[in-house]
This record gives sequence, structure tokens and C-alpha cells, in this order.
Amino acid sequence: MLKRCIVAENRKLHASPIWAMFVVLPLISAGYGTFNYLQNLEILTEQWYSLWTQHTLFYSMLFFPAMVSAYAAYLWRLEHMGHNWNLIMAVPVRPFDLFLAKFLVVVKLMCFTQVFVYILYLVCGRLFAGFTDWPPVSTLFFMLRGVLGGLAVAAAQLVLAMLIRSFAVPIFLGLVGGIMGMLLGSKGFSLLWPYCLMQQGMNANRSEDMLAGNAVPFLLACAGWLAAVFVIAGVVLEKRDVKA
Amino acid sequence: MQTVIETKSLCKQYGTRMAVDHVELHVPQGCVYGFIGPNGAGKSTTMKMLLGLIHPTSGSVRLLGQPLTRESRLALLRQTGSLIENPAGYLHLTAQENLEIVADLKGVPHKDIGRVLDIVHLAQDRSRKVGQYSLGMKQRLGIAMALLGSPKLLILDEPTNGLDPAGIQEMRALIQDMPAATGATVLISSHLLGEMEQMVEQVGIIDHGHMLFEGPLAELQRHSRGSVTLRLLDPAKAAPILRAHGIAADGGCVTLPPLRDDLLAALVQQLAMNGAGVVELTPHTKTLEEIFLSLTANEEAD
Amino acid sequence: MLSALHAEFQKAHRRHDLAICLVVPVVVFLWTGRLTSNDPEELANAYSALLYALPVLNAILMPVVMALLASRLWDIEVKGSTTKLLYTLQSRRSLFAAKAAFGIGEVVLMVALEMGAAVLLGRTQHYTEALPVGQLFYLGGCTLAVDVMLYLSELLLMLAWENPLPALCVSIVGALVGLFSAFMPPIVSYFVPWGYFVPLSSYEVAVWDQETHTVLYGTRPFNWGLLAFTAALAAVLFAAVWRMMRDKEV
Repeated sequence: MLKRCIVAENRKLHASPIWAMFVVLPLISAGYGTFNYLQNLEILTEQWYSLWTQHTLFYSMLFFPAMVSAYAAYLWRLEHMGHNWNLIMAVPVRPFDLFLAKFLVVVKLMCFTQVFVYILYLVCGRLFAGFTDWPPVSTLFFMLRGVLGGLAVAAAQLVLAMLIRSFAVPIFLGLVGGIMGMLLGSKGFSLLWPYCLMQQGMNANRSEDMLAGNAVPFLLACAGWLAAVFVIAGVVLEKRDVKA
Repeated sequence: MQTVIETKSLCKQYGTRMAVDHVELHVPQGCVYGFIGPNGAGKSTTMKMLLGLIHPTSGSVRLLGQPLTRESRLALLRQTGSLIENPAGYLHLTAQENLEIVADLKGVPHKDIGRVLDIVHLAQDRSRKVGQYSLGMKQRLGIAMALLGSPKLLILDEPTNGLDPAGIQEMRALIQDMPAATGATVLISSHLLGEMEQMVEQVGIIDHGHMLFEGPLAELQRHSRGSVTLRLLDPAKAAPILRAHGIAADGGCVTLPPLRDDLLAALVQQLAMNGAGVVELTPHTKTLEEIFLSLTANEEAD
Repeated sequence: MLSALHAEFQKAHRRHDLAICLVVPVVVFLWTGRLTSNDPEELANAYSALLYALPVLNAILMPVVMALLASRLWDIEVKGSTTKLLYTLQSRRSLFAAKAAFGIGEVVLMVALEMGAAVLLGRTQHYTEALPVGQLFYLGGCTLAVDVMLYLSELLLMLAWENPLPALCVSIVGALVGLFSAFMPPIVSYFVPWGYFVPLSSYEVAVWDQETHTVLYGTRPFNWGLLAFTAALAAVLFAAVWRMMRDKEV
């Protein structure tokens, strides 16, 4: 049943230019990161690690949540427009599967973006920063942890976009969520707010591993937040009357 | 005969307003059931509750012999096609792509798409974006979506909205033939009574959330019999008899109030025996429109 | 004109625009409130630090917020398919004037609240630096000019596509580029209107001691030239939005 929902979801995205932003944002982020790294060689002395922080700092704190929000809002806007709620809720699929399908579509795109970010990181490092070796394996883990941390954000933004019929408001809230995440993260409350998890996972603002030896709480927080958001989505979809 | 849709004391309350108030629907299998009422009477709300789109405040729904619950909902929806309120659709996609999405979600093979497009005469426009469709075309696409997978039960909310007269005629023929052609039961709502008279066998009339009448169309027409016009050769001979019944007589044509059949027969016999010369007896069956108005007027007087 | 504006107010009913105008200063308040510590030396420099930080915050937030306001104002007409109706009920000029006036009014309110939040922050955290009133007004004026310019550009995108998606995406990308341009050589930042908040700012880092993590802020002359250019850009966009709305076929 879920598979059918995913197929349908992918079909809806046909001929939609939304993915362009997922290409443009990492490109800009990488270009700026490399530039800034080269400008500040006297302070940024940790080679690949330093380049990683420059590449991912603003991206993971602020623009990743905004980008995922835009995607989530777009997916639900398709249903908010033109009475489509009546259509999707009257087909024989579990309402939660509809949500899950949208979630997986967002996650798929998120993974592509992360991989793209990493490829840009490698290319910039070798070509522009003049490194002759390859980056430490841990940066690869940072990237994968970023995906894990991003899951809860994607789910939370999908819930917001499902509940809020306006397109722009959930995106704004995503940006605010990222800012709150930045503030809470710097106070050490990073596991208590889903929008922090991505930044923590990416290890974007320090060269030492922020999660060294703390992987278990991080993973638990990711799973916990994701489960909590899923429960909310499930309850909302079951209990709420369809307004089309 | 099995009852395909059955509701018991179905209620939906929004704030203090009862949108649907203890509605009892009984839709027999294999019929076209007309669900009639003015705008805002509670038709769409009831139909949304039948599909589980909104949750009843109280009361229960049985579809195809099974109670509608969270568990049974999906199995029941698999056998149901619906069009609620305005037609849905993804405007940036073509009709073909829209139907593919619905077919995927319903688990229906894509070859069924051609069949439904033919039925609603959209086969030629299948590759156009739905955003460029007219209202009537969108409506037909909505019906095509409902028909996908040949469901046993069709729930159509005002399906003739936005159609031109030829389209309405086609729709009427299509729906009328549905029970015979596919064995489907059709619940169709409308506020236009005239178009319903020609395609439905069963009717339910709803106003302000209350069911005013439910039964075969023929019973409704009988139930609200109209007046009868008598043409007499000799009005003078008839006058005393009519006066005795409290009817004013002037001239050769007399309008009798609605009467039971046996009373009417007795009156005509009496007139004939007195040589009044009954040459014409014209019954005026009320149109559904008039019946409806009289039913709702009674409701308001209560 | 007044009735058109009145209609905009009625449409804003239950749209919670005021909440959006309030959320922004609250976010700014929380964000900047965290930046200052109780160190007496920092408190003596606190308004400077705040007025240095605010343009950066604005560069991150405002492009998206302006897109949000523009979409609130125009998307209701798209969703309700009311443009056809409105174009028959009122002159296009009055519709445009009302939309522009209402949106700019919201922006003025937001900027005023943001400046209010800055003063409030100074009071609650007991800044010892004297409130630089002139600088605050200059910052308010610059923020207003850039905000209005961004608002009009987003409204233009919204009108062009009848869909808020491009405008929102441009605003997110614009915010990113604007933020980056703030840390690039000044000449780069002149080419990125989304980030004009920063080159317009009259505060700069005067002394940065890396060892002790102390920063001293100094002021630089007001950037009247760029402010005038921003206003000119806003005027051009204003004309462009008007032309677009006037010539739009519905």
C-alpha cells in the first residue's frame, strides 16, 4: 500500500522544478565555504576539517531546514489546492501511508542533497583548496549523521505543512526552527529540539567531533523525535475531519 | 434485496449547528438513489461521513453490509468510487497523469484509464494539463476518477455541476444505466429536482440536516398527489353536489383539491348519475419541485 | 482608495498577519538577547554589538519574511480565484495601491517593533552604553528601505507566476547569498540586494583580540549612497509591480 503511495507521490512531482533549489543551495554554500577557507588560512588550520566547517556551517544551521520546509510545503500544497484532500482521503490507502510516502520522497531528495554536498566538498578540497590527500573518513560519517538528524526535521515540516494551508508560513517556521536550533545547540540542549540534530550530526561548527562517544544519545534523540512526530501525524490524520 | 448504504441516527455537529441531524439513509442494492436538498442542507456532509472523510458526532454507517469503522474503512473504500463537492485534480499534470495517480492509489491497472476516459469523453484531451480544462471537463475527469476500478458503490456529489445541457444528458444516461451495466449502486446528490426525476428510482430528501422523506420516487409522487380538474357538460346539475362537498363551482371546469382515489371515484360516479356529464378528468401530479417545496414548507411550519 | 484599503484589512481578518509581524521581533529579541553576557566590559559596548548583529540577522530572516508577507497578500487571491472578481469590482490602480500600502504598512510595523525590541533588550539586560538614538534611526531607515525593496521584488515574482513557490525559493537562496556576501569583500555585497542590510550597517569590528575573545566595535559613516540606491531600486520595483498588475490578463 505504501509502495502505491510512493509511486503516486513521485508522479505528482513530474514536471516540477522544485529540485532546482536542492542543486543551487549546496553549490552556493560550497562556493562560499571554499572562498572563506582560502581567505582565512591563518585561523583555519585543520585542513579538511576546517574546510568541512566552512562548507556546512550556514547550510546545516539555517538553509537546510528552510529548504526541506519548502519541499514539504510544496508536496502538501498539491493537496491543499483544488479539493484534493477529498480525493486522497477517499482512496483505499491508509492515511498514514500518504504521509509516509511524502516523508520518504523528501528523505530521498535530502539524501541526494547530502551526497551532492559531500561531492562538492571533495571537489573543492582537491581542486581549489589544494589538498593532495583525501579527507578523513569521519567527515563521511558526519554527512551520514546529517541525514539521520534531518529525518525529524523533514517529518516535522511535513506535519506543519499538512496542518497549515498557507505555503509560506511553514517555510518561515522552518527557518525559525533552525534559528532556535542554533541557539539551543550553543547552550548544549541540542538533543531536545529536532532542528538541532542535523547541525549536531553534521558537526558543522567545530573541528573536534561534538558527538565523540555520545552517538547513542544522538541516535536515540533522532529516533525519539521522529517517532513523536510520526505519532502526531498519525493521530491528526485519523482524527481530523477532512476540510477540502 | 441487500441494503448497500445504511445509516443510523447519523449526526454531525459544527459548534452549535447540527449540519446533519439523525439522518437515516437506506440505499438498496442496484438502484440509483437521489439525495436531494437545497444548498447547505447537509448532503455533502452526509456523503463525507459515508466515506469516512469526516467523523460523525454520533450515529453509525453501514456500507455493503459492513459497519464503517477504522478497520473496515479501507476494504470498503476499495469498492467505492466517489466525487465530493468540487472536482479534485493536480492542475500541473495532464488528465492521463492524474488518472495514473488515482489508479496507483486505488491499485487499479492502468489499462482501465482508457475505458473511463472513453466513458466521460475525455480521451482526446487526455494529454492536456488539467489546469487548462473547463469546469465541465474537470467535472468529467472527477467522474472518471470515481469510475476507475469499476466500484460497486458510487457516491457522486452534484456530478452535473458545471456541465452543459448535452453533458447533463450524457451523465444522466450514464448513471441511469450503471446498475444494469455494472451492477453498481449509485448515490447521487443534487439540488436540481428536475434532472433527478428522470434518473433515480429511490429518493431521500434532506433539509436543514433532517430527512424529510425517503422511499421510491413513485411513492413520493403518490404521497403528494396533486389537484384534479373536471370538465363538465352541465355545471348547473353538478353545483349542488359540489357545494355539499364544499367545493365552489363556476363554469364548466372545476378544480378539485387532492383527494384519495376512492373518494374521487365516488364523487365522479355521483356527478355522472346526476347527469352532470363528466367528460374530462385531468390529474395534476406535482413536480418534484412542488413536492419538495411543500415538504420543506411543512417542516418550517412545525 | 480608502475602501480598497479597508477591503485589504477585511481580508487580513483571521489571516494572522499581525502574529507574523510579532514573531519576527520576538525571534530577534531571543536571538540577540543570547549574544550579550553580564561582563561589564561587554555591557559598556552592548548597543554597538547589538546594532552590529542586527543587520546580519535581518539578512538571514527578512528575505523569507518578506516573501511570506507577499505570499499572504497575493496567494489568497490566487487560491480563491478572486482576481477575476476583483478586477471587475475595483480599478487595478486601487487594488495595487491597497496591496502595496497594506504590505508596506506591515513592514513599517515590523521594523518599528524590531527597533523597539532592541531598546527593550537594552533596558532588560541593563546595558551601560548610552542608547545611540541616531544610529538606531539610521538602522531602522535602512532596514525599512531594504525590506520594502525585497517585499516588492517578492510581490513581483508572486504576480509573475501565480504561485508562491518561485518567490519563496528565490528568497531562501537570496538569504543564503546575502548572508555570504556579508562576509565577502564589500564590493561583492553591492551586487547582492538581499544582503544590503550588512553593507548599509554603520557598525564595524574595530578591534578583535583573538586571544581574549574581546571585540570592540566602532562606527563608520552612514552609507547614504547605497541607501539612495536601495530606495531607487524599490521605486523601480514598485513601478514594475504596478505595470505587471495593470497589464495582467486574467
